[in-house]
Amino acid sequence: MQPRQRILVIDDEEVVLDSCLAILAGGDYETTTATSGEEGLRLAAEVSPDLVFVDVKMPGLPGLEVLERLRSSDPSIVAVVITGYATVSLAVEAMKRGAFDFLPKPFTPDEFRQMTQRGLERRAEVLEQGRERAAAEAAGPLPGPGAGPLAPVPCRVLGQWEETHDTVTLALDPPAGWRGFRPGQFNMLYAFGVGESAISISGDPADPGRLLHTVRRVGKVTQALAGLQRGDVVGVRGPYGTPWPLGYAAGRDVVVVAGGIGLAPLRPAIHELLDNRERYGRVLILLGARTAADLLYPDQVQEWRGRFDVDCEVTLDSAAGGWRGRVGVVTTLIPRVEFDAERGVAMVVGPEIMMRFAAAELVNRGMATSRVFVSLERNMKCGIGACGHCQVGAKFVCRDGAVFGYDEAEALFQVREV
Amino acid sequence: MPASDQQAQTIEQLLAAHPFVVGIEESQLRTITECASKVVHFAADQVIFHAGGVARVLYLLHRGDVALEVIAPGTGTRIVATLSGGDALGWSWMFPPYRWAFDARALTATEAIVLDGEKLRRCAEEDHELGYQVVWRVAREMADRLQATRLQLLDVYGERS
Repeated sequence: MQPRQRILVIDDEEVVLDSCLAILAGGDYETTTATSGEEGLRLAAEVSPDLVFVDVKMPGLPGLEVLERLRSSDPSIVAVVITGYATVSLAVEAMKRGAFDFLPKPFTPDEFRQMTQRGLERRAEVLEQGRERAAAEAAGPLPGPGAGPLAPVPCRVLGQWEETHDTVTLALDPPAGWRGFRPGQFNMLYAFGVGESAISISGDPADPGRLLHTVRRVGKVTQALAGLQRGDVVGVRGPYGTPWPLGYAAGRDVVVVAGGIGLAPLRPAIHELLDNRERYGRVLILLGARTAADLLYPDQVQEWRGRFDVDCEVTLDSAAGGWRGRVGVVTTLIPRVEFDAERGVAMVVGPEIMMRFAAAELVNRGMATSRVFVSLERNMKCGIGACGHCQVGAKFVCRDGAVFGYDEAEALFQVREV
Repeated sequence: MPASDQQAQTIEQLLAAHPFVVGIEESQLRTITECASKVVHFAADQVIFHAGGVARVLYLLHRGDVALEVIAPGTGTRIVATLSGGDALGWSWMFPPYRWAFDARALTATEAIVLDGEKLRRCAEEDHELGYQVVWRVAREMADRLQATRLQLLDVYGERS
């Protein structure tokens, strides 16, 4: 017999809680209610709910904070945000923090029942994906649906939000058979009818419920990908490529250097570093952006800057008078921060020129080129080392990289694109 | 006016630890210390100097952050670079017409050693070995900043990158 599914509703209005209890009374659920975020978190730890409804505006702990804590303690929890102050920006913020959906108040009993149904279906999918992943013997590329390694698997868009004026993050429902990814890997995303592009996976590797890709609009394919909306379908092949050397970095200082959109492929590594903070020495995150408006994931960056166990520095190429932080290229941060260059490891992503100068500064500090890792992205077309578009010298970037030690990459940087 | 003994000692200690003079001979450090007039403090947002003002000193930043700014009609204030503890602020005392090229404003509480630029110039002219050491250090900082500025000008995160 299947255990009853558990639902937790967190809202400071007793009348809302009573209504929710009444609506769900006939169903085969165990429903628990809480009148504050603090109580909700305590009950969530006790009952391990399958689905949580959380009100945004509550005295004490705000709903979005509750949502974030719930998701960080159990990334497979499905959470729906409810509020009487529905705005687009709030919906986007909730989605960014991992909400499955958004239910504006007042809602009808039918709307609440339907949302409950959808949320529980989603929960079942997430748990199934987790089981598949655990059962998989080894991570590897998804097989195409019986049509060879180049066939993309259809994948539903759960949501999308603008990061900057030219950059969008897509949240995808992981396709059937998805076995997770390792930080640094990328997927080939296929915008049907337009074309395919290699896009780094930019989300938390510990979150099995959604697959994030941050896409910058630079051409027809990325324009089409960035234009996808909730419910649209995109083709996915992957994950491909070598991961960041997080195992090798254990016990060492880690310097993460990201310029512009380069933060996207590094964010999964940062998640892993911070989720397993005790495994590493000093963790430094050095970020460069063109302007303050071009800085990716500003809320998350703010959070990293607020942590005592991480040194996170941001510098802009150009800033107006009100900017309180640093101005200058990201490479100028490297001589200013403390780390053990002799044993430490660096992970660097940005435009090639930036990576070259960053590597030079790191080497200048005493870091061996073999411990400076960079991610190259050059014309990747097939993702499996078959077409030769990304060939640089003797290497196929998609198959042999995209993460390379700088001892190898230094020579590749000298090879001009064909 | 010579600094008091207590302040001179403090300046000497601060100077000896500053990256600008690391590796310099003791006798040369003594001469540079004689050019150090005081340690100054700037509150956050306090203007250190204005573009066009007479440049008589070199600031060796001990702690804090300083923005170099330029005001352009129509675009308002732009920050062109930021400097921090360990950096040297201001070269305009070295070259005629001895006028500051940018505004400098403290972003955070800032402490700096003030060197008398005219005196340092005279000492450097009298002692070419000292002059070489000073100019070499200035050139090294200028080269670093020139390289960083070139990267900024490349706009590597721009549309085409």
